[in-house]
Amino acid sequence: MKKVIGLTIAVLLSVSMLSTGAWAFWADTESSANNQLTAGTLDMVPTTSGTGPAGKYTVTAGGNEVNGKVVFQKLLPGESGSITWTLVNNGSLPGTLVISSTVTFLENGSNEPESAVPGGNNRGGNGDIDEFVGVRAKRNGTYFLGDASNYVPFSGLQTALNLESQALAASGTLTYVLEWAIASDIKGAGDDGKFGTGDDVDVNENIIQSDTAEIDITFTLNQ
Amino acid sequence: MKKLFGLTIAALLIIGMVGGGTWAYFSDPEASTDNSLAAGTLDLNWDGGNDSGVAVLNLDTKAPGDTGEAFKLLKNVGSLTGELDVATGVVTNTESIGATEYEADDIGGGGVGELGGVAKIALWIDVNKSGAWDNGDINLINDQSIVTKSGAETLDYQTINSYASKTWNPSNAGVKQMAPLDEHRFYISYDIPTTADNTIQGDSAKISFTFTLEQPAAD
Repeated sequence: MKKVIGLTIAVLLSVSMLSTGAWAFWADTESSANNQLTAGTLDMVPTTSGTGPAGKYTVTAGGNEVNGKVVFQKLLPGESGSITWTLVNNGSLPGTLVISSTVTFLENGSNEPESAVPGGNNRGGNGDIDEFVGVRAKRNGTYFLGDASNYVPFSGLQTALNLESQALAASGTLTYVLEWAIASDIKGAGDDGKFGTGDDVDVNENIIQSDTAEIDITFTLNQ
Repeated sequence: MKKLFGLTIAALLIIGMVGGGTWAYFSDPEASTDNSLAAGTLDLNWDGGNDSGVAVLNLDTKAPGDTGEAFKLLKNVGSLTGELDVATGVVTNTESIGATEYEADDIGGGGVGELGGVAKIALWIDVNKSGAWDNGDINLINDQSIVTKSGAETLDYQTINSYASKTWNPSNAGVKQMAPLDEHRFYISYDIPTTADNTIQGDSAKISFTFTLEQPAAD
């Protein structure tokens, strides 16, 4: 009887292995879910502000995709002002800020006092602000055009701006300040290219009457 | 099979990079355009023009007892408010070269006339262009002061000679602030006193004026 039972079990095991075809070894399964890639963000927000002679300037602050600007009018010798562009990287990625600018000077005709300027008016054919009005520019408090003591001719602004290439960290801020000044006693900058130094050249103050300068800037934050 | 799948993905990536021909990084441009600086204008017109040099009055054949006045317009045609300063040059007295009894008297030296020391003038700015000396009008006094009429003040007449080489720029604030398009009359009123004698017959006196419109606080 024992032999009969033993054969029966052996048969059943053999049948089971053959009929199911499955044979489970030891196993331990672990999961790794929710793997994902998320793109970073690169988003710069500019704000524009300014200072100047009372009642002679208007500020449009601007913002994301909204043009900000400062417009100064009816300026006189002895007056000064500034434009500040505050650029905030609101994205999650660091970037590199580059500037593309165009600075345009215009004569806008000549009235009698301007036409009477000794030595001629409208020098260079584009008005005279480029030559006889001083500017200087700083980035985060450090001058990269002119210096704390001296302004330089307006004509150098475009080149200086277009050379800018600055790192801007995520959540970081870059502040650009353009300062301008019309001297009470207007002069040319002389050979050293700076106002307020010994080689400045006398000129009649009326030479800049009605002249204008326009500054167009595009700030681009690249990854 | 796995190897084939991996090669396919790699090939697709390469095709995408090469075939597209562009590779755009993230970038965010922001513009600040039309920032501008514009200088104003300061321009004074005399008698409707610039540098015309037109005289206010040019009188002849006047006699003791004659009085009168004449004016020209001053206008700020610039875009800025300015301060008006007035100055005179030397007075030139010329003796008559005529041959009547009282001409060419040589009193005071040959060729020097006496009219400027006898004939009197008053210089004033008719602010409201009324044609009359009334409140708000400004009298230029020969001591280089100014009087603005506010009550009973009368015009001050002094000899032409006494106005030689004077400047009216009180307190360095100018005779009058002139806003853009402000226009006033500059008057010379004259009076040849009846007490004048024959020594002025045929004589002439000449005085010139300089009007300057300057930016506030320029001096």
